[in-house]
Amino acid sequence: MWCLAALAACGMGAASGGGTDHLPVSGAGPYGDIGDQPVVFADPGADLTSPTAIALEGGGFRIWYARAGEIWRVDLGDGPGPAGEPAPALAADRAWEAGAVGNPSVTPAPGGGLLMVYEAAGQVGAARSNDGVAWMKDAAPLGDGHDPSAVYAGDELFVYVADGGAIRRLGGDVVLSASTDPLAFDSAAVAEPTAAFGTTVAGRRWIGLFYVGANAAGRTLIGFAGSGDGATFTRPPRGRPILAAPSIVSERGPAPVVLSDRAYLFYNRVKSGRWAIAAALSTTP
Amino acid sequence: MRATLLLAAVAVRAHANPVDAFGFGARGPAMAGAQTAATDDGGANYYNPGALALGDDIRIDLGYQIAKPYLKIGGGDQGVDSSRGLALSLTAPGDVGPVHLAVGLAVFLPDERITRTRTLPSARPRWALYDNRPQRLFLASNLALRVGDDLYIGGGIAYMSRTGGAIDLEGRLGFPDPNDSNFTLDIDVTLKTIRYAQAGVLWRAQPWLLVGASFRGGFVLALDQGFRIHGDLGPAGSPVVKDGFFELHSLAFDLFQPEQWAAGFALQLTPRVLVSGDVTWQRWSAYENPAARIQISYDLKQLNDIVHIVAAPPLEKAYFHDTFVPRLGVEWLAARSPHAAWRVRAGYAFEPTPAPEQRGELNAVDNDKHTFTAGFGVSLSDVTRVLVHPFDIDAYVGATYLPPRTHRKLSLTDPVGDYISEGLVLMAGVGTRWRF
Repeated sequence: MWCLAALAACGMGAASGGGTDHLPVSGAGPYGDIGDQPVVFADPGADLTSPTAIALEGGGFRIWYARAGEIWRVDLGDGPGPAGEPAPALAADRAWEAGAVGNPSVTPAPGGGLLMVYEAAGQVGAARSNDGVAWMKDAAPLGDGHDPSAVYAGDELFVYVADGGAIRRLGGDVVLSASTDPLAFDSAAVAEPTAAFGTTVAGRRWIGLFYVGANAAGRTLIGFAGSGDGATFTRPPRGRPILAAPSIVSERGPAPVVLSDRAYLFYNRVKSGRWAIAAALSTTP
Repeated sequence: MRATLLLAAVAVRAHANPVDAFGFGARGPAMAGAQTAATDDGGANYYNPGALALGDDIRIDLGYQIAKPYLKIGGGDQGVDSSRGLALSLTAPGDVGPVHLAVGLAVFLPDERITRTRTLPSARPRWALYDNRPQRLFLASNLALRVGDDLYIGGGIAYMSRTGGAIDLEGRLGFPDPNDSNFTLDIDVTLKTIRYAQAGVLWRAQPWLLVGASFRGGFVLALDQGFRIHGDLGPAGSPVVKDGFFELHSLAFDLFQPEQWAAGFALQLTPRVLVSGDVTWQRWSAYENPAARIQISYDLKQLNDIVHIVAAPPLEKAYFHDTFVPRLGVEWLAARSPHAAWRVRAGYAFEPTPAPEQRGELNAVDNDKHTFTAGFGVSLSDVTRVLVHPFDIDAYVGATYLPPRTHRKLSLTDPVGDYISEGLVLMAGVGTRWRF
């Protein structure tokens, strides 16, 4: 059973007596599973990969994901399963897209509306929408890269891509490389960046970078790094994966939604042989 | 191999007692606690034991106090528990030869729980001075005497208990079938009394001026627990590990109370107006990082090569500092008749926070505090034949304002991030005083 409305009361961080309600979190984790079943949306007929999520004003979440060469969307509400029918959101219809689109990343745009960046044929495309349903593609790709992620910091757009085992800004320098610690979970490569932006109550700019780290054995787990300028990212002191109970096999596709007193992390994990969308929650340490 | 590790960071302690936080009785809190030289009721058991010897009557003070915090970290109310309970004190004066003395006993008995201690992760934000601080019993006994005509000296002890203990399991742990285990269990838990001293002196320097000083000892509750499993691992007769052990020792601290020195005056400005003032030095610098120390020892024989328990990083220091707390109170005799005397009271106190801005992993949150109080009292006399001596009724209300404070984290990967702490604490109480 999965309960979005009662996420904060699902057994995380509770303590006897008062004094521990509504504590702030930054989104850096750690994250714990919600209930006893982390997978919140699956399709027995297809892999659902690279989720990206936003919180809806009336509650719940809208999630876009890659499915069989297209980008789909689904709304998740307060109950188990989707709140509405999954629907196609974006399909390949440009020559440069070579027949398939994937790896979407959606972020609110300044002045309203949404920006989606996505990958097609090793390039990064962009599309814009006012309602999250109908999308208007830009005429030309933004540049080369894999697993793109976009976030606005004020009016400044940051687009990060995976490139050769590291993460760099689109058209720019590497911002995060594999860990130099041979025992680290991300010692072999980092990829699949997802950026989140916020301004702290102290007025400081904060960019969080969720990513997938791989070790020498090929196991992939989700990590986090933080930055004040979007150009230099640092890992937490002990540099561990951010899921408190990491998948035995692998996990991919981090999609954070950071709120004031809790943060959600949608991500990919395997269920019945297919990549499905799971959810985790970070409340208080 | 035998490994000893010092792990960290699973517990946070909180501090002091409800009387430190909200005062004792109904008259003292109405004057913002400026009572070192002005106390004349059962509150002397806390504010200045020397003042117990002021009167000649046997006095019983009985009242009820409540404080409700509305405290926010990051915009959300943490639902910090209220503190409420019965305030009871007894003062029994008498003369032994030429010496006038008095014994006093005071108790604040919470009606929700006698004492709360709990262990929280060190990174979890909490209101360090309001978490467990008001959630404990206060019990004190004192002896006071008058020296000459104008000097009063008193002292006593306050009590608290601490726990210490161990759980020992000895025998064989079945592996892979745990149902095949064979253990003897030994649980040894001890409740030990902790006593800390308090003392006070009061001097009538002039008929219209009292000056006083008092001392309250520091206190910390140690929660000392151990767990040890000793024996064989594996099937009976062919254990995988023979004569191994695993031992965990946890030492946590709670209910820290700083050593305090207070000095004050009570000035009878006019026949109707009493002004009192206090300054209290509080030794908060003795406050250590509240995280528990966990010591692990083990010897798993041939499995030692594959068992590695990673040591946690060193504890971050708390960096609390000493504080001076000024208090000011006023009492006005508003009306007097043959059977009643009405008094109005007010007070203000400023308690600077001992806690630094929380920039690291530890989140022991506290703010400066501005406390405003008001109250009244009526002293009735000759209203019944049952009560020969005057009978007092007092009441107060108060509010402590904690202005917003920003905490900026050093690390951009801190799990809590920057936040603002702020809040309000509302207080109220009533008291009665019976003389015999």
